[in-house]
Amino acid sequence: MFSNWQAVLEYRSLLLHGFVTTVWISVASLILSLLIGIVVALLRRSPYKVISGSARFYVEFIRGTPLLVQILLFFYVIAYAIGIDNRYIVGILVLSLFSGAYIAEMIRAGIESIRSTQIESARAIGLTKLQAYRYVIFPQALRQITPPLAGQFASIIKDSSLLSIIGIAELTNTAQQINSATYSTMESYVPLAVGYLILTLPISLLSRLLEKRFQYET
Amino acid sequence: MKLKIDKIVKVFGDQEAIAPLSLDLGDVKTLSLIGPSGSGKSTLLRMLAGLQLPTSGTIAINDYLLSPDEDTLRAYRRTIGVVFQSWNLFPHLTALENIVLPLHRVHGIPLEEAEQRSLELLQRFQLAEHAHKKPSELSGGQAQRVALMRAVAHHPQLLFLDEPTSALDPLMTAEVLDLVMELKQEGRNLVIVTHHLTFARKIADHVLFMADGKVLESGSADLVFGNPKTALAQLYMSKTMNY
Repeated sequence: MFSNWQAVLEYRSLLLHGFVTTVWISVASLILSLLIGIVVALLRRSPYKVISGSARFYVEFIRGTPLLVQILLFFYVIAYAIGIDNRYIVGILVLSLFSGAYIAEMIRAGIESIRSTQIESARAIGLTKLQAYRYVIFPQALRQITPPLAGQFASIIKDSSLLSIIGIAELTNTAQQINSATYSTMESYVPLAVGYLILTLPISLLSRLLEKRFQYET
Repeated sequence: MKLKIDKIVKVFGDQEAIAPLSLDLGDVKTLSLIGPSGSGKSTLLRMLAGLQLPTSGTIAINDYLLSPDEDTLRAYRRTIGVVFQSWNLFPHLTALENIVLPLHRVHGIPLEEAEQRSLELLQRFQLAEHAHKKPSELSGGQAQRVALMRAVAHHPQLLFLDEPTSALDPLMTAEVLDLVMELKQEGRNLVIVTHHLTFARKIADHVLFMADGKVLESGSADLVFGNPKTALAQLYMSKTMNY
């Protein structure tokens, strides 16, 4: 079989650039989706039906439609309408909105797993509602949330590959470019898969480690 | 403590947990609430502790009228201590941190001083070796004693105990009740809901016997235990005091 590693090797700096782009887009999306997740999780617990209903609609909409469809819809319709023309910003926004819905559900489940007696105890010792969240509910919920959150980060990294469709030069997009320049499919796409594994394997290890560390009886 | 209850009612859905109740106690050091399950004694304690509001009526403790406003009510809760049946402690914090948290965050005591004070308290009640353990590493009795420490660390005017030993085995129960007795001897005022009638009799200077959301008997421990007036209380005492 004719091997074309030499041709692909010439593009290594391009590939590395794509790799770095994937990393920072994923990190930015994780941070933003974490913020979205916290806010939406709290909104879903709102006593006002309009607020909790809207938050729920958002979560259901995101979870009920493919990410690819959301990327297309956001890039060609919404971003165009509100005048965002930086595709990297669009990419991070859509990935964050997507991931935020899942994180919101994780956080909500984490908060709801806290026994009502814990909240009662927090009230009894005189903590304000905000303090109760800060010192009692969130730290306990965090232990529940951290392992699936690490998994979610791995998902963001993998899902960011779909941003290649709107021309963001991340890892997948770069590999496609190299493939079309060198006509070497295997040599372009094998490093692509390896690139993702380099990022996701440590995370899944970390996730398992955290799961063990945070195990304690409540 | 002075306790004045004026026509309080507590309704959950269509269930009346507390029927119209009025009570005026002049000077009580330890108040025991006893009676069958579902009699409304925990509900009454929770209202006295400012954790729940009566549907109607008013409660005044030491001439302080409990307000329905959450902020005012929280200010009141800061002056008392509460221990529940179980799951009092925060599982992500050590025994020491559990006591320090309210001292530092609620009562504004500097961290070092709060830790110092908490450690002294744990030492005094033979819990120092467990200071840095998480609640899951403590026995039920130890955890409940730490919960008591947390409830008294800020020198509350009143201590509320809601069936503090119901989830414990007999030995642990004894540990906890010994500590409650010690706290009483220190001069702390207590309100306790308990199924341990002998203990209730021993510790209380005033007893309320409740059933179906009503106070059927109210008087000194000797009077309520020794000479109950209502048939229900007589039956309850005769059935339960045998064991």
